[in-house]
Amino acid sequence: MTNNKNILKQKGIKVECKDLSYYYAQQKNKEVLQKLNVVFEPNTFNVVLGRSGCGKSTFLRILAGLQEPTEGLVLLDDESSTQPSLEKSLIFQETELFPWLKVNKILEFVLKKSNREAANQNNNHFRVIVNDILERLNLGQAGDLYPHQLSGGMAQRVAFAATIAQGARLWLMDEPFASLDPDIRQDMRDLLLELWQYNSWKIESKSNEIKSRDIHNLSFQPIKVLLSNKTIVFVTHDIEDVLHLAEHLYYMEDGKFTRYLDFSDLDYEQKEHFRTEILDWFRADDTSKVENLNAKG
Amino acid sequence: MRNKSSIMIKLIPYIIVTTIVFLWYYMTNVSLTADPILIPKPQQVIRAFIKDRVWMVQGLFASLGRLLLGYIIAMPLATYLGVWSAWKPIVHRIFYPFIRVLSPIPPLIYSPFLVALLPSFKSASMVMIVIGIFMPTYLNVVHRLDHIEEKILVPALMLELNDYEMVHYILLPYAYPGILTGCRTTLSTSFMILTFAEMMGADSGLGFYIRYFADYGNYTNVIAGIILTSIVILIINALFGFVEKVAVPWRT
Repeated sequence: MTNNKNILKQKGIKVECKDLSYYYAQQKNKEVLQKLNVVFEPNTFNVVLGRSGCGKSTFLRILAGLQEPTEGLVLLDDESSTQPSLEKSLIFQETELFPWLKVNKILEFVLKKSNREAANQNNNHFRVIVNDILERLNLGQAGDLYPHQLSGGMAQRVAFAATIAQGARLWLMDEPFASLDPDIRQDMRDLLLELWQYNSWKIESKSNEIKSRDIHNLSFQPIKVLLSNKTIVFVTHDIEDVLHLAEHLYYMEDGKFTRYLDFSDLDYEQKEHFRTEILDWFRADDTSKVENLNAKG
Repeated sequence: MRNKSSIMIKLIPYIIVTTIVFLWYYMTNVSLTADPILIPKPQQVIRAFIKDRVWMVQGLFASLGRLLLGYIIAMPLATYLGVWSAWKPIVHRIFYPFIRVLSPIPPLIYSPFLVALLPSFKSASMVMIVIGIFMPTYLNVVHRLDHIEEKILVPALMLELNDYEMVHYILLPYAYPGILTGCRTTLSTSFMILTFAEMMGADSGLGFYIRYFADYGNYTNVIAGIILTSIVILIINALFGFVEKVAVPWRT
């Protein structure tokens, strides 16, 4: 019963930004973010597209609570949020997590810290969950490796695994696939979509240690971890990311959202029709920059 | 071609050492251009090694004991304080400015005062060694953690770790490889302080050995002492390098 209750509770987070502005103290006239107003609904996949330097990384860092906005508010589930917290996870282009721990120890550490109420549980319980996460992300072999021994794609999988173990309901992703090989990038997009669409693990564990129904019978909290829904805010400048992943697409230009497309219920082929339109946004963006420069020059 | 030249480059240090030893031998045995008192013959130095081996080994262990004690006291203290200084602004505010300002002052400066202040010369020299190791290690730790990579710090912040966990599970392991490297850089300073202190007033140790024979104008043994000290430093340095490799498996 308690488990069911937890499952119900674990919705993705609703993110709301009210008049969010950010500028550096020295240059008040140059705003990095200009009065952003936006709502990311729970369990949605939001992609923020923009040229480098448009302010999208700053936006993500403010959502993560790593930077304070100069003005405005970030509301998570209608409550103001200014600090990093367990509910949020920020995944970078390159992740190493804790390089002094082996992968399975990293996940165990994250799992324990995000489930403090279960900290007195037998370590075995945590290990079962860790192994399960590893296996489901095709990281079965990686458990005993140190992060520096992983390939780029594996390292990002481990970052996903850690985010799952953390039970984060808001996944903030800062061009997470930008440094990967193109073919691996596609695999990772598929994996991310799969993870996002899960509201529970598909019950097909291959491990001998754990049978699927056992997951539901585990008496302690980490179960919520595996079942949580997530809201994703994904920052990129790669149009392929947009076409494969986006449910809601926001285009950022000079610290403002200038365009928006609703891709809900569209598949890749249908989104493909928007490719030219999106590329035109980039072009228009460039032209206006050149015009600005000329005006100043 | 490239292979050949790289072998040559590797051989250069050996060639230089051999040349020096040869020149030394030539000047003392063949051309007799060297002052026989100030520059003894190589074979005399070897004889001094053999004759004084017990004394030298005892001196060696006396010196190493002091050095080890210095490291045992200074390293954990500097590391721990450094990590807390990096994490808590209040701790940083209390310690960092003072240590920063005092660190360029060579600890040997304090020696006359410390000798007067402390009960024995031994304790005074220990304090100097500890200061000599503590200051650079502390600064090294603080600076390393000032530049902790975001990809490591951010996941830790998201986990809502408390101060204790942050320091013990994240910052200490992160600082750890740098601390081991720091051990090697402080080695020469600490050895300098050590041998200086021993020359001034100890009754054992490598520095004392050198000083003792210099007083009697016996430069054969002085040179033997200098050679022994150099070899010991080389060995300890290599040992630190080895420990660094074994103890930090996550950094290839």
